[in-house]
Amino acid sequence: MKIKVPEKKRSSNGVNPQLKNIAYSMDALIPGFYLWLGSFCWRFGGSDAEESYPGTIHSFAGISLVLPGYQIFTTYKGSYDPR
Amino acid sequence: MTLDKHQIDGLSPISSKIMPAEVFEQLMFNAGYTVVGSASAKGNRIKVWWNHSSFRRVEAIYSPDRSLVITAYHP
Repeated sequence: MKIKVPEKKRSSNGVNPQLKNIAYSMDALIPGFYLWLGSFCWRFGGSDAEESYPGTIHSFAGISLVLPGYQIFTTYKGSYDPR
Repeated sequence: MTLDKHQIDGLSPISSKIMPAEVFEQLMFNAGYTVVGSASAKGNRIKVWWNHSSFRRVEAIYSPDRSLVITAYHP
């Protein structure tokens, strides 16, 4: 008898983990350069997200620069809260 | 904080990006939250857990010297 094992989810809330890392890095103002376009994500600097972090980005494409001193320049205008 | 990008139960929307820790903590205490613990967080940050008798738990991300609150969210 076969036992069906459920597939592992992409992340705890089903979002792209790379996008979640970028969301956390922008949210926690960790210096770096971030770019996302659909499922393509590119991160220079920043950090992996906290395991319990629920946030993500709700736009198809965007670009962001976080500088030391808690400064952020970004095209993103939405929230990081999950929907 | 990028607190302006989150809605915290029991708090009015916050318009500033970062906030002095004592100001944020006063807001949280006034809303009935209590601190239950802290730990190091990813990205050289400090994480502080806040509990409330009726609202969801909150995680707040502080600067490494714990003087600023950068963001806070419901995990």
